[in-house]
Amino acid sequence: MKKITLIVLLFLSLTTFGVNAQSPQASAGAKISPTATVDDKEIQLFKNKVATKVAELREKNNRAIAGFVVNSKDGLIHIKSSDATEYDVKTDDNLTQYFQINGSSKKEIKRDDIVKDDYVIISGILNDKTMDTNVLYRDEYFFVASGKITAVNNVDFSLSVVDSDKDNIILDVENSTNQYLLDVKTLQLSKIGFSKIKEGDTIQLVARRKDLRVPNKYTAIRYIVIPQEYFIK
Amino acid sequence: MKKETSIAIIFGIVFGAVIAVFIILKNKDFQLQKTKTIAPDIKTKSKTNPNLINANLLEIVTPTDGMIVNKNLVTIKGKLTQKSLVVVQSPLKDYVKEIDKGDFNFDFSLALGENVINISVYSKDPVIRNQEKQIKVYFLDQL
Repeated sequence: MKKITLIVLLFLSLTTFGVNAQSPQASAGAKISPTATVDDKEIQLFKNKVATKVAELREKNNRAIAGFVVNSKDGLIHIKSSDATEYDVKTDDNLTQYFQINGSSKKEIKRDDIVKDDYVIISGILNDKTMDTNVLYRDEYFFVASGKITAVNNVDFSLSVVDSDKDNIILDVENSTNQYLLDVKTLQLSKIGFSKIKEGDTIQLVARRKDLRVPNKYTAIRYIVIPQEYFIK
Repeated sequence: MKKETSIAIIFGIVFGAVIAVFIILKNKDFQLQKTKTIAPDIKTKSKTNPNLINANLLEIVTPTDGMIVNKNLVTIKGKLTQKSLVVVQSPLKDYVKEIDKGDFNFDFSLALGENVINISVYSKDPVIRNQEKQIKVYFLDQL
């Protein structure tokens, strides 16, 4: 009886030890997860760096171009900028949006509304002379320049101006034109009439093209005249 | 006629001719001295153009040409080497101010779309050539 009791006690103690023996295996499994967490963190950091770099490159290479529509067909609009550079603009029927700029707001328009001689602005990644775009704006073209008044035509109400590029331009002055003269003493601008303008005065002007087929002829929207007296010591 | 008389006459004619030629030549020189030529010489030609200095009056730091922004305002920053009249003009707005030599900056409103900004600088010094820079800034709110 004593022998049997001893054997049973031995058997029980061995099985208990066996159970204890399992705990080291559980701790070994717990040591694997910190390594996986470190790898995940590094991967996420790398992904963030790549995303930031891509965004920076995109911002750096993002360009805007503007020009007059020469022709438009299928997914391609060919434009010519004011400095005579030509570009091809690739559009997508499903993705590209078209807007008309009206002052400080814009209104969505259709692809078919964009016609020849429209002035358009596009932004995107420029690849040589081709740009892919998702947004196209139709706007008005403004001519901004400065120069010297070489002739004042009181019959036609027009000015002949030689601009800083030495081009001769004809500026038509209309009732809606805002005309300002710089006061040489106070340096304030005051509204004037056409009769105050003299040959030899300097002019800073904003104008719109009269007709694309007639170069160097504009309708004045607004101008500032700097009288010759300013430059006399 | 005597031989001596003939010789005297001949000598007289020759002597008279010599004196006449001498007088004509001298008169020509005298007339040339009196008359001033119109054609300018090389020295005066080089001095006809005034010494206009192409001084770099104006330097624009921002904005850069072709810049795209997503708000209706841009700060124009630059530098002047002399006190000058600065005229900034765009289709939307005019800005006129006499600015002292050194750094300058001011805010400038933008219209939606393309803004062609003309920055002209005028010096009262007649020797300094006026300067102009044109910058296109695009305000596009679909970025």
